[in-house]
Amino acid sequence: MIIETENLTKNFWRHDAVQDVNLSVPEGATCALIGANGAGKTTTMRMLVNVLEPDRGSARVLGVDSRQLKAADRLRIAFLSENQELPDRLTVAEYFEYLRTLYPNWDAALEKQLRAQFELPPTRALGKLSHGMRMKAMLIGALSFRPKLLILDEPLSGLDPLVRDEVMSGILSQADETSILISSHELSEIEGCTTHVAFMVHGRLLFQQSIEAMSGRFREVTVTAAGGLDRNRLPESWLNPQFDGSMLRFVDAGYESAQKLDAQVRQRFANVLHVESTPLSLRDISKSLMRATRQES
Amino acid sequence: MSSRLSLFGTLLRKDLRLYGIFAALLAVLLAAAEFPNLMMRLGSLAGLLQGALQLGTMLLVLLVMYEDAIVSMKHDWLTRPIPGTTLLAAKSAFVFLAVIVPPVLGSAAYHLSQGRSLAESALSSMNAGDPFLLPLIIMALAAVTSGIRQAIIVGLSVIALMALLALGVTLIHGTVESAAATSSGWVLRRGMQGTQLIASVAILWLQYRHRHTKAARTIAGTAVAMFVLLLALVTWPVVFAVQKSLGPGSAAAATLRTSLENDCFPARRLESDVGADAAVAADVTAQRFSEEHRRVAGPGAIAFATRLASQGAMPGDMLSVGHVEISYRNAGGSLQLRPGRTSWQWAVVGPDATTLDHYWLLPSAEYQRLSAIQGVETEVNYSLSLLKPRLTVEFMADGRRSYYAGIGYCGATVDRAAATVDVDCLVPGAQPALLTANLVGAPETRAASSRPVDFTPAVLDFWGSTRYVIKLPLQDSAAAAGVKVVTYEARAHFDRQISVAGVLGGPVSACPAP
Repeated sequence: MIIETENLTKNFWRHDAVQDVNLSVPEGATCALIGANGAGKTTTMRMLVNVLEPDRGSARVLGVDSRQLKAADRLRIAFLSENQELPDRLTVAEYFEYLRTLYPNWDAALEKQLRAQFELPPTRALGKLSHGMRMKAMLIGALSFRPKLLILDEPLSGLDPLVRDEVMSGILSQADETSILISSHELSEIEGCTTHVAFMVHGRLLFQQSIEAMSGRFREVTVTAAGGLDRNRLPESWLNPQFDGSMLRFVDAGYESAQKLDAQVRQRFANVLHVESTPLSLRDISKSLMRATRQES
Repeated sequence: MSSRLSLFGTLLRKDLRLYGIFAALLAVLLAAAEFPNLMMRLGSLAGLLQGALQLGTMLLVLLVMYEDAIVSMKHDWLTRPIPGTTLLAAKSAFVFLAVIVPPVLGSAAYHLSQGRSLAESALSSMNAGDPFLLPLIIMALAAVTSGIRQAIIVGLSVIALMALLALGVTLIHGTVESAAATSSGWVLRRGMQGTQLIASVAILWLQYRHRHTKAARTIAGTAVAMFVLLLALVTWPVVFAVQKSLGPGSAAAATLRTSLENDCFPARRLESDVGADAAVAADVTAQRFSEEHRRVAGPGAIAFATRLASQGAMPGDMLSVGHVEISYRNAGGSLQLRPGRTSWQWAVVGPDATTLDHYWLLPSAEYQRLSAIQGVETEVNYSLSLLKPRLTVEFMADGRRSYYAGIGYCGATVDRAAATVDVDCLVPGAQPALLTANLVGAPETRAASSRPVDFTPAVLDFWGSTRYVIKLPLQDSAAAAGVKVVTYEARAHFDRQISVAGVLGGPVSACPAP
């Protein structure tokens, strides 16, 4: 595992930001860490790179306890956050000149290629760059030393679609040789490259699995019946049920097969005419989960 | 090692790139401020410039530190391959170059321009500016705060807290005389400086080595509390007790006899108008008391003098009064008075009698109360030090400067227009307890100094240098002037307590109020 946490916990005053998170990211994976705002994604990521110290539990990153990460380990880990504070008065060119000297493994050719691709103005101060330009500059700063692990905290937040595509293409260009942990609300953008998903709710890790396994177990289900449907007989894995006369729509979080689903539905309701299930995108799964957890809380 | 060095260079270059112009401007002004002739030309603006330079220095140090803030979760450097200690080394180097070096160079340049040798100019410059402590404290402040706004709030809160505590102590104990400005004040001064130094270094180390913000903030809070406690609790008795325990014993003072001269103390009443000085006689003048002293004593206060006579000291020794206090004692009465000024007081003593005068103010109401008490006694407590000569050099006041081993660079010029001989000595490193200058052949009582007696131990006084500029009255303007410079060290520290009956040197009937 390139990332492995054990009961990782962080509290801020009385707020439980992260509680007993056991996250595992396999080497070579692109893992999407998803959850609503305040779910604990950023705090978890900050603990992984030792910007924050856990109150309890531990995290191993590249096989090293996160609290023991040394400068040599940081040559292999890149961290990018939407609200990272850069030396704003340095120009783009000066910033990369500065970064180049920090990393013996800096790939100047890749930097040049990405800078040309992203069309960053070399003489403009970082503080005067637009949000999109700034994210691009940070991405070049994160990719150009070819890290073994790339941790990205909301890299697409606030970007227009064009810039989002550019940033994603930059990330994807490295996906083959880098393990990635990415948190983002732009799930449709990252779905294509995601191999694993971890979902956080209120500081806890609800589940983590491969994208195939997750896509396989979530279905949007529409049930059509001849008469009315009894609202009190729904299992827990049926999320966000919506009744509309003789029709019921829900998301099945425990889908195994069409036959099994059909049997489950008919066991609960009489006069079922039709059961239809369709696969969900990562975005829709995430929305369903968030809605369900919001209703629960 | 070489990669660390290269990283150090990278970080330093980055800060120089970001703040080089500000630092250069500040450096020029800091260097210029070391030219007294230039500052004199600025007149009242000089004070303003000094204040602005202090603020500019603090701002620059804070900006550079916050550029890569340690109390942060967002700064870029936190996830880069930058060891905290290397970052701290780079920041310290920047501060050293931008804030500490310019005044040193400015001072050296000034002394060179005054015709001093390179060696003497270099030694003179070591005291330039506020060498290390202030920048270090500002760095430590930046290491426990997340930005300039927070630093200002914390700084102002600390100042307010200290002022409140000082006010509280004053309300409870009355005006507490600071022991810092006395001959043994180094105990307090170095104690406070040591607290600041140790706390600042510990904070920086904890933060940049381990990022233990909570522990660092605890240390900062403890240091502030200790600082305040030192100010409030380390008064003269504590300071002198430390001095006695560290300095030479009191045995050497056994042969010194002390007594109070005069049967009745010379006394006069201040006029009812607090500001009026004219009514006070020449020997007990109001000028010896500050406006504050007179205001506190109130109208009609009695000004009086005590004269300490000493006999039996070794020839050439000096007697220094560190502190003197009068207490009135009886079954129920207890009042302490302190004289207007003691810390500068010293006198050559020898086998013959030598006297030292002290001047006091007794509020009228207190006099009435004390004089009505049966068997009231006046108790005068002296904290004294005997100084013995260590080195003596003699030279002509011909304008030439020479180096004298054990003292430093000295020279003297005759200012015939002012009828003075101007002696100028630069003493590097550990300072003598006292340095006096006198004209060869003049009575020893005419010896003068430009610095109060100071018993700071050599081990705590290794850095920098002190300049003594002493003007001696030229008796015979036609004669060539020979100058004698003498340095002294402590021979003994001791206390003497002298009691007399009554309030003003004798029973009230014999020594009534004026």
